Amino acid sequence: MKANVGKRVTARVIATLCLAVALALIPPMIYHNPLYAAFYLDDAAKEIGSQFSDNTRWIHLGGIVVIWLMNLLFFITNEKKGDYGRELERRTRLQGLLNFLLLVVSVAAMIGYRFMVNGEVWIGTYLPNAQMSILTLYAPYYTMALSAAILWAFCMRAAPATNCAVRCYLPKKIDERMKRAERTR
Amino acid sequence: MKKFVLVAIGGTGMRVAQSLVALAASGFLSDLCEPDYRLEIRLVDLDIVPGSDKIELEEMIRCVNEAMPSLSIIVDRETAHSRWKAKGIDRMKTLIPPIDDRSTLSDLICEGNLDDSEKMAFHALFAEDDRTLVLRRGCKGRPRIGSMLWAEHFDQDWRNKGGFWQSIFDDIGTEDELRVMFAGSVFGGTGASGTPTLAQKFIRACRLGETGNTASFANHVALTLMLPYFDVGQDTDVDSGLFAINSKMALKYYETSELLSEVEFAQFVGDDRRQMEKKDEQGKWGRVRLDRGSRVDEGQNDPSMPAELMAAIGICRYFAGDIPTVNNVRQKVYVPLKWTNTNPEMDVAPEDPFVLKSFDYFPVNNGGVDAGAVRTVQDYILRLERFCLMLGCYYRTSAALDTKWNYRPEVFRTVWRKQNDLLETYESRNDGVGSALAFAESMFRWLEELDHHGMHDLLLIEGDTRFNMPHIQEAVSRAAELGSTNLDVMGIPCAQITAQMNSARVDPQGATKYFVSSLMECCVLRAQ
Repeated sequence: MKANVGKRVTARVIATLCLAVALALIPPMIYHNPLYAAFYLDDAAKEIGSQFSDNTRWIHLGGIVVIWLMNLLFFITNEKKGDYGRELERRTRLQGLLNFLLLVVSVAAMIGYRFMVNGEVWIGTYLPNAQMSILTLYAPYYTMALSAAILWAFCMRAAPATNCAVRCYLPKKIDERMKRAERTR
Repeated sequence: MKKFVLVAIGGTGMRVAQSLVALAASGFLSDLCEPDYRLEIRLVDLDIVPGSDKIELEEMIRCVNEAMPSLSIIVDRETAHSRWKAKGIDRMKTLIPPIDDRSTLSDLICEGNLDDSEKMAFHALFAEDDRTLVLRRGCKGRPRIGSMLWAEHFDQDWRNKGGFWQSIFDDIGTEDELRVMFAGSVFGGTGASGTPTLAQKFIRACRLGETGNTASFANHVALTLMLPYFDVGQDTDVDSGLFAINSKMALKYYETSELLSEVEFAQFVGDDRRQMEKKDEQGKWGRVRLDRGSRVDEGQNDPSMPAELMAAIGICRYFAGDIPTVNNVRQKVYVPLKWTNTNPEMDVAPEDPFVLKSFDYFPVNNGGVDAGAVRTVQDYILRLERFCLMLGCYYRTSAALDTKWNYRPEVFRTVWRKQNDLLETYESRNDGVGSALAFAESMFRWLEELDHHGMHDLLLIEGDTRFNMPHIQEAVSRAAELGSTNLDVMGIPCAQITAQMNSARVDPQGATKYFVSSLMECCVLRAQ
């Protein structure tokens, strides 16, 4: 029985870790070039563009790591306690709230950083005023928000601790398989 | 194949049998001997009214046997060799005495048909009290009544193919090993009269071999004789003041009779004379009281006591072929002692109860190089308690909680489909764990009585208002109501049990059986 606990826990931790790594690294790589290209071609704009693109990547990475660690902390607590009912409900609510707050904080950190780089003369100075350019500039923000939301949902609905309900169809089916016994009497 | 038969005689014999049933269910007997054996219990008692020890034993056996399909699934191959090997009772048979609800000794003797001299002798040997005692409620500490009945009944039944005695040999060949243990008291009525009479008659009849090749079966017959270990109130028709003198006379009889030389082994088990108390329907403990004026349909139902557990351990050891030795010499007559003391300062005064503070007081092997795989009875008793608490209290309370399906214990989602009234399903015998629950309740009653009669330091069941300590069931239920796992279940953290249960592997075809067997697996204490 202990082996099955280990198996289910390992599968969940590996799944969330893989997703966290993917969400931390892949989206910034996707938006990096378009974002850099959105800036004007002059040296000053390109330097700011490069700086903004690089640092938002780090903020994105940090945000995802923090969210993953926070969910891992809840995962470990849940595994340690193995409880249910009111206590679990309270902890799950807290986990949801903290995920939301971290998502907001991560996006806010990016916005804050953007104003730190240049709070007044950005659009129109380093970046064309076109809607497409503005949307491209916002890419790190909504990518961060989307990645954090995906990780949050995955940690809580697809790969929660073994005392919590799996609510996504495919992970549920996989988990049910892991809990199916061979007939031995 | 091996076959073990316990012939339980009288109320004390019934309660010793209850302890044997509990030990077998805990896997103790299976761990002592090879798993391929049959276990039978034969009941000999007059006290057959509802609420008696015999009815309680029959109920206990029924609960164990009905739960067996749920208790015997191997849920983990890695630990299969050291799993909880619960054993049910393969067969139970009752010796039915030729009495009805109102039979008295006078009726049986047909006093009206006796001539004057016979009548005078009958009156000289049996006082008015004895002659008019309603036999259906037992011999009530008067062996003179029982001894008349058993000898005659044995002779009548022995040659009956499907009868009480011949059916012992039903499914065994001459190559198979049959071990028969007779258990009863030396101080009571039914047991004190039936145990020596029936054991001796059985051995001699086997040796004669009139009904087949039974001579070899006479080699493995043993006795468990209970010395006084309880008191009952003054206002009863059992005079417990006579227990000591009755026992003294009985021991004198055993000393001089040939019976002890004919049996393979005899154990004499006694204890402090504890006041017996039984829990009533309101959950309050009250002294066992048997008024002379009590109704005929009101049975003698006494609580289980530590001495009976000690006796049952000895019976298991005998069945496993582990006869106690001293200096490598097998003991024909053995008195298991809780404690031997050479330091007079540590003596316990006779009027002070000896508190059981360690499971080591129950010897389960010869010690030293002769000690087998089973070193103590501790985990066997405690695993039963853990199981009863988790199944009967913890998970039952959590099934009763009005909570969202997603916040129920994960194991419930594994075993049952989403539903509103989970408690009803949980308690159901078809879709739930009803039979295992009945087994748990029956076992917990036994444990609680042991706890109340001297084993509290080991079982920790009863609460203590002085220290604001609730009854263990209440404490477990309280934790379950909160969904908390922050409690210790007799040495195993509840969180560890629930964590393993949440990952229990089940076969959807028999999910509830897997639930019960997985819980059993979690209740076994293993080296971490």
